[in-house]
Amino acid sequence: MMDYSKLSLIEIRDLISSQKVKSEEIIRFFIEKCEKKREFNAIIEIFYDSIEKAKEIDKKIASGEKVGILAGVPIAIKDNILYKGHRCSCASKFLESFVAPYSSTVVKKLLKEDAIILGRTNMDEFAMGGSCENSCYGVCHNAVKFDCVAGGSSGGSAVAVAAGLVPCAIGTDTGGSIRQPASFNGVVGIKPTYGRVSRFGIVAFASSLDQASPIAKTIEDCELVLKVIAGRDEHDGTTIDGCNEKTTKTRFTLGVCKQVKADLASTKYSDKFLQTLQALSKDFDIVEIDIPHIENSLSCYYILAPAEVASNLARFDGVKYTKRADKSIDLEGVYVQSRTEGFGKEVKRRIMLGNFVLSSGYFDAYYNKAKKVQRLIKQEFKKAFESCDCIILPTTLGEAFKIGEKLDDPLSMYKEDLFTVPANIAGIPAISLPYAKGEKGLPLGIQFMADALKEDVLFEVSKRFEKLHKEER
Amino acid sequence: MDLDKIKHLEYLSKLKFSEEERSQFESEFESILSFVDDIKGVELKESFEKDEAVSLSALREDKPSSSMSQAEVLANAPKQKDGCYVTPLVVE
Amino acid sequence: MMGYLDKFDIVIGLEIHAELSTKTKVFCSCKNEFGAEPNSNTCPVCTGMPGALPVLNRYAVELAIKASLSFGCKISPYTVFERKNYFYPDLSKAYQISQLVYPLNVGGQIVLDSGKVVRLNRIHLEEDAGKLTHISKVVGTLVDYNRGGTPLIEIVTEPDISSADEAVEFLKKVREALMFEDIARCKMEEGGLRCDVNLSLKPKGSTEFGTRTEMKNLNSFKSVQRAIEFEAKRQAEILFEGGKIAQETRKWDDDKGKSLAMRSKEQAQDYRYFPDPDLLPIKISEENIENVRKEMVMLPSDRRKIYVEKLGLPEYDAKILTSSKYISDYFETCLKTFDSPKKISNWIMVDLLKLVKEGEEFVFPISEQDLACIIKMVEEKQINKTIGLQLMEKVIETGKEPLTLAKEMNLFVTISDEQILQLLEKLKAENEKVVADFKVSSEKVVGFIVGYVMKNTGGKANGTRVKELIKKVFD
Repeated sequence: MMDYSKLSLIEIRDLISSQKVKSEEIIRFFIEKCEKKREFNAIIEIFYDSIEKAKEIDKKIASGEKVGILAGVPIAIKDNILYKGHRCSCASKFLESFVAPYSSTVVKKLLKEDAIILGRTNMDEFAMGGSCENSCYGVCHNAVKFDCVAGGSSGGSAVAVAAGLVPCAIGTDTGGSIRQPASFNGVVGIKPTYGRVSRFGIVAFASSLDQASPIAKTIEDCELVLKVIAGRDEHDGTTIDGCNEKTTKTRFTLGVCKQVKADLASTKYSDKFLQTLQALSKDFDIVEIDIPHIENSLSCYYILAPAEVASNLARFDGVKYTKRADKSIDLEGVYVQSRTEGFGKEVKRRIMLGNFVLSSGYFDAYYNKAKKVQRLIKQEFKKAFESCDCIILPTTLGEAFKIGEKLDDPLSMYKEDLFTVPANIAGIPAISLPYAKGEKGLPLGIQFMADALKEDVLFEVSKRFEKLHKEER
Repeated sequence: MDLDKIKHLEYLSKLKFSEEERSQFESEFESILSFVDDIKGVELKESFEKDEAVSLSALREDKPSSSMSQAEVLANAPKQKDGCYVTPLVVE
Repeated sequence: MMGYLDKFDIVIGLEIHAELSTKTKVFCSCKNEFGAEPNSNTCPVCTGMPGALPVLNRYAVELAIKASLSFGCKISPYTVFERKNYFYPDLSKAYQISQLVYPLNVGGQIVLDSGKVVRLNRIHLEEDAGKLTHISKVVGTLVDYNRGGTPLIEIVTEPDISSADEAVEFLKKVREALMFEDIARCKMEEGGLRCDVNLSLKPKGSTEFGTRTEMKNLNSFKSVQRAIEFEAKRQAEILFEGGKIAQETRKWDDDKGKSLAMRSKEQAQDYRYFPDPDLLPIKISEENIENVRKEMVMLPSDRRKIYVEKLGLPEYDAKILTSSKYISDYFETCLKTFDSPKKISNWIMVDLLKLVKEGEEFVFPISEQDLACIIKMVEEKQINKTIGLQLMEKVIETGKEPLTLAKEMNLFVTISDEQILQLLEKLKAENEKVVADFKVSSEKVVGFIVGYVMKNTGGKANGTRVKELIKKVFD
């Protein structure tokens, strides 16, 4: 059997649609791969009904019926995305036995294009975390170096793609949860403009920041899958139209943020980044931009996201689904015990923090102030994009760290999100591409951000960067 | 941040911590709060009170679509009776 | 009677919740309907399933705007939905989507019959909670989310009301206006209109407010009346004895006729309101408001004015005819068939309204066209009123057209002059007293003679003609 694990999603798609390989063979190949490489703990459940689905697609193709643009291609979904009739647990003990009673819009759109959902991927509980260590299914391991973290929260999705367990996986990104693990594992991950992808049927973390999107090996794969899942949804009032067609622009200006540059100075890969920048100056115009309050993004994030978490996770009360503490005699007991036993440490920490910033006497100083600062930052980004097409910066401070290294230090874990969070706070699209190797051979990611709705620019710049960068290397 | 405040947050959050967890939480909380304190120093020249709004016409039409069946709705419920979710007796 | 109470002024503010008459719920497309099987009108959104998102119903907003226009509120050009966070089993998401900082409407007022103005603080849009049925300690409490997500408007008054009577009158006026525009069906027995009463006392003439208590979910005029009277008296007694009123929520027990303090919460409620990130703020333009205004029927007060000034009806008639949109529309439709406002008004007020029970939703048992047709026959003296009423009953009974029925029943058989003359001659010959009395004062006996003719013709003789012929025979 051929090794399909090195192929891109589009290559696999073409093999199937040109009837060179059957979808069933592809699915069986990847299932076997997932079964063999369980040690990564990237895929927490293989959906074996995918084989039957693949047979159906093969039949369709054989009979000459028109099929979708993802016909027969396996895609994995993060464990917070609902797929009717399948388990969805957000890697939480609370939802361990929860079976999705309906499908998310993302899944519906993938299925409409005849994609095959192969399984669900590991994550930090309720998407809170940056290492994929907070999972009721156990730690997910880095695809390149086993004793390092996968990154998070979509660690399972990134590792699954990087380890060749699936050509593409959907993740969600609230503060960097797609881009950071993509960077840690040497794959491509994009977070689109807020509202581009429907959140309906995706278990909410921070509703005003969450976006689902693909992690894949190539920019083109990400572009294709994003195109499939994007667009206005009658079940999500915050959605916007689908992505623009390809940009007609031919020359692009990259902005380097003054404040980010200063932050970089103290990191070990600062030189690598500056060298790369240098090399790009022939083909891009490079300008310095000023986003005076970009550094406050992280504080805004760690106020606003917990606030929304506290409210979003209140529905997990032990009455309506799965987990209930059966020892409890009274209602308060059911609430308190179910939640205390069902949620992990990090989730509880954020719920408490969220209720603090929302509580009477603190609301204005924290939540309201953060909201205002967020609006200011949005405005500053808007202004920055008047002088550049994309902002370039590293995805992370460094490469993947050791498993366990930051587990007892929530703050240092939070600080890992420094370069990814601003795109969520500003609601703009951002992509992480692999661009270099760090000390232990671990991958490093570079990040581009574009103005809201400008995914077309983001993809075009990414492709040019990749082309140049490959030549460079 | 003191113990009373943490206990009040536990009440609002419907969570219960052990004494040990509570004191660990207290110190973590202190460091997180001092970390996010930088926003207090941000001076705002404009009011920044409002978010972008959508127009009335963009909202959903008042047209019924099919609901879920009772069985589907209750499928994940830990306890059910007569088509309803069940909680311990609520005393008003 | 309430001795202590004389020393105090009562200060009342109301919070009225009315379920809007939309087809679907406020944040999902489930049916907004009463009485379905438990949890059958539900979906991921209204049962608070993971991943579900609210999507706002435009018509609910438009109905809330309509309510505002009825009460003269100022409609906000920018309005925001917020989450009110608290755990309770009837609240599927553990938060209620409501409005706080940017409500849909602010201000407005309702004028009571006495001329007193009750100011409104605001009207905002929110979602209703599900229904709890408390069974027993063993079984527990049952939760049904069919009602969860029903659109509600909450009308909040300023503390301008000073008696139970005023509160009830205010509530009736609100109900009338909401029903008139079909904003809300206001079925109080189904909880479609509920009222929270905030009440405090202050020494007569004082400007300082006392501590208030809140009584929640009163759902009949009578319970509002009784709860206020009880609570005012209770507070007066405490204050008079030098006691203090506890700021608390009290539950009105209609059977026992008294209010009781609800179990006090160990911790103060903190609802942690914040803007719902799933619902973007809404812009409401002048054009949006105009479009709603255009759809509105004329308000009762405006109609009343026209009835009095243009149609020449007494105030009393105008008031009764505009007591509901249905009666008002019915009356106006009748006018299209027979343009005699006072006659139609009389029939509706005297003869039709007695057929329906007060306070219940009703439809008159006869169509506007048929009623107007009968009134027309009577006024044109083709039949008399008594026959007209009989005809109406028959129309209601059979559903046939009045004209057809009248022919079938032989109601139009007119009595000829000869027949009348014969009867009159007979009377003249037999009854000397009538002849004598007629000579003294014709007016006194004419009635008697007409009655005699009617009696002997089964009421079918034309009264006017009879009178003319009486002159001929007796003069």
